[in-house]
Amino acid sequence: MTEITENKPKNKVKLHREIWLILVVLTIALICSLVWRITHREPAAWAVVTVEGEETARYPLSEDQSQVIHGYNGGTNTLVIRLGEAWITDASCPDHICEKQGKISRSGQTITCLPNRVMIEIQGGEEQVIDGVVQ
Amino acid sequence: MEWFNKKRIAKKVALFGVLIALAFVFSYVEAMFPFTFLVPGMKIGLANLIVVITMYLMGTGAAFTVSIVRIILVGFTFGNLSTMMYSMAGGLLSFAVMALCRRTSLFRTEGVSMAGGVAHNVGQLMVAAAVIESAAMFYYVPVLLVSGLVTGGVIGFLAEQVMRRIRVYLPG
Repeated sequence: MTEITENKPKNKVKLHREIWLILVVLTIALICSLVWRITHREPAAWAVVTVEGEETARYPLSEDQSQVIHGYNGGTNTLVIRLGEAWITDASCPDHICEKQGKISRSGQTITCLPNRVMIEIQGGEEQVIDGVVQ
Repeated sequence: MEWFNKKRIAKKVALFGVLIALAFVFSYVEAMFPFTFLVPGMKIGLANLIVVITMYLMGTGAAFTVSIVRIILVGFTFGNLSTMMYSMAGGLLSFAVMALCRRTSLFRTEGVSMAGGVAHNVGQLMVAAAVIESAAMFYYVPVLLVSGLVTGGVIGFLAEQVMRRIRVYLPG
């Protein structure tokens, strides 16, 4: 019993040191992530819209928006950009393949609508490449 | 006296055998079922539990032996030279930091283990950065620092609990 009472204040004093260790490490971690964020800003990514091979518009992926694209022969596609991803929600063409192509967000990915001759390509921003694997 | 010494040495050898085997098995278990939680690649470092316990019960030198022998054995058995390099860097740095923390009695077991966990991850990251030759690795620094803290804390807590219970049974 006496041992416990003797140990208690000693333990308390030392616990403070561990809290300092935790705080110091967390601070370093925070500073590292902040420095990383400031120095390595993600390159701006754009959804580039081309109709019949000619670029008609480009929208930043960083802004949530919805745009109607006027394609060949009066056809329209609705492009939605949300949370850094772009996809087509509505198309005037009969087969709606572009709607099924899913969401694109990385450089080089495309969505195409053949009947309207519309192509949406992501330019800039994160590449699809993995730069290394570590075990 | 001679006989007494021999008996002591035999006891020590047996104890080392048990400790290294335990550390080895813990590494194996972890390789089989990676306890990945929170972050991909995060390991709890069960083998380090043995290193911490050895450090407290048998001293720094003994813990160093267990740690190095374990890394070499595991490296040759389940890994390759590349994985061994990572373990070695992490293990050595972690060991140096833990020995220092313990020598200066800066922290209790939990704190020593936490510092060791963080140092382990920093060591591995340094090797990774050297191998990949890319500063992009340091994107991972905050994650690894925090995970080292968490796993080190868990291991330290476990070590403390184990030591409380086994201290009685160990040869002086």
